[in-house]
Amino acid sequence: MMFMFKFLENKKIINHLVSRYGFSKEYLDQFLFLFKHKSVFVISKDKEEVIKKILNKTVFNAGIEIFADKKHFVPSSLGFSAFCAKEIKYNFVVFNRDLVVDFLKGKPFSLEQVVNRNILSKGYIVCIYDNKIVGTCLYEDQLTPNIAFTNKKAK
Amino acid sequence: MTIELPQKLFEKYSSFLGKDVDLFINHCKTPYKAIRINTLKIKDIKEIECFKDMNYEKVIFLDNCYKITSNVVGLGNCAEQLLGFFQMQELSSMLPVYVLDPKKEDIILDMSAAPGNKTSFISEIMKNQGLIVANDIDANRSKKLIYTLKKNGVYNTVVTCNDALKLNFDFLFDKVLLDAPCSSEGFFLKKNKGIHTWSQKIVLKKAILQKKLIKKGFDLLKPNGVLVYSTCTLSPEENEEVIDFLLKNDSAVVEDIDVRLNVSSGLTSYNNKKYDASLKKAIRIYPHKTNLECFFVCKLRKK
Repeated sequence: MMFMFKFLENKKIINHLVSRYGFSKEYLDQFLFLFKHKSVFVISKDKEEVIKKILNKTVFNAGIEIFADKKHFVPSSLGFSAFCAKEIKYNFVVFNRDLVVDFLKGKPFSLEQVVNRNILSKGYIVCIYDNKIVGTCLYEDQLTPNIAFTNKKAK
Repeated sequence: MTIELPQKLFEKYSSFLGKDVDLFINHCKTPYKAIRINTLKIKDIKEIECFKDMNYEKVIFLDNCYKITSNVVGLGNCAEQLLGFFQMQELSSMLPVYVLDPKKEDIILDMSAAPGNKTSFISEIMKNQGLIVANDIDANRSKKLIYTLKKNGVYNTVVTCNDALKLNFDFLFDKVLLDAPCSSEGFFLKKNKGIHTWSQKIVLKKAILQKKLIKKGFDLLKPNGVLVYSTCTLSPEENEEVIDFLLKNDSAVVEDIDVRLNVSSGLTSYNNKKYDASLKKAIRIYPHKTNLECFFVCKLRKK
C-alpha cells in the first residue's frame, strides 16, 4: 500500500525533541517535517517550494526518517545519527568502540557498561560515540539497541 | 591472473588502444580498495579507529578519498563503515560527481541513482543543502539507495522510483547526473568475472536506451545547466556515440574537464564513424594510465 508524504504539524514533534533530548529550536528550524503513514521525516528546508511541488507526485522517500512511529515517538536510529551530537543535552549514553560494535550486533547491555550517561527517565535514549550520534537504545531494565538491521559480523 | 577478453571485445579495444591493449588488460584488476570519508559525519580519516593500524594513501585528485594499501578483509563490516563514517567506493566512480561540481544552492537530478554512493557524495559536497532528486527504476535498488542515504546522514534528497524516461517535474534542474545503465565492461574487467557474457548486441541495446536517457535528462535541465554523462564501459557506441547523438539533436556543448589524472581524450572517430570534434574534451579512464577502473565521463552544458 502506497502512502503519500505530507507536511506535518511539527509542534508536537519539536516539543518532544526539545523536552526529551534537549534540541534547540533554532537547530530544528533548518528542517521541514514530513510524515508518511506512521513515520516522521526531516528534509533540508532550503528548497521548500520545490519540495512542495515534488510531494504532489508519488515519491519513494523524502529526507531522512527520524521516527518510525510518530504516536509513540519511536526513533529511527540511523535517522537520528544525522543529527548533531552537541544538540543532545539529556537522555543519552556515551559508548566506547567495543560497545558500538555490540550495539551494531544488536546485543543488549547494562547501564554500568557505558562510558558516560545523562538519563532523566526510561524510554528511548540517544547513543553517542566519539562526539557523534550512532543510534538510539530503549532503556528499561537494560539498554536494548533500537536498530532495524543488525550485523553479526560487525567489528 | 590474466583476463581473457571475448575476441570481438579484444578487437574493439585494440582499435582504439593500439599496442597498449595488453598493458590495459593487465591493469584492469586494481590491487587496492578505495574509501571516501563522509564529511557530513567525519572531518579527518585520523578520527576513524579502524584505519589506525592500516596503511593508506591520500588520493591527490579527489578530496577526502584514500587508497587502502593494506591487505584488508571485511572492511565493509567495520563499525565506522556501518555507521556511515566512510564509504567504500571505486575512485573512478567518484569522478562524475567531481565533474558535476555540485553547489549548496543547486537543485540536482541523479537519474539512475542506486545504490546511492554518488548521490551521497553529491549531498556531502552540498553540505546537505539545496535539493537532490535521486531516481531509480528498480524498487529493490531504490530501497538500497534509501539505506545508503540514511546511513550517510543525507537529508537533502527526495527519492523517486520511476522509469527515468517518464520523469516529469514542474521545474527544471541546475544539474543532472546521468550515470547511465551500461554494459558494465569496466566492472566485469575489474572483477575478472562475467566478461564472457559481453556481446555487441548488449552494447547496442544499451546505447539505444542511453540515447533516450540523455535526451530526457537534457530536457529536464535549465538553460545554462550542466549534465554529466558517465558509464563504466569503454565501448564508443555507449559513450561518444551517445554524446554525438545529443549534440546533433540539442543545443548542447561539451565542456573541458580539469582533473589531475593521466586521462585520455574522448574519441572523435571510431569504426569509420566521425564524431563531433568537441568530443575530445570528454575523458576516458584507462587502468594502465591511471591505476583506476575503466570509466568514461563527459560534461555538457545547455546553451
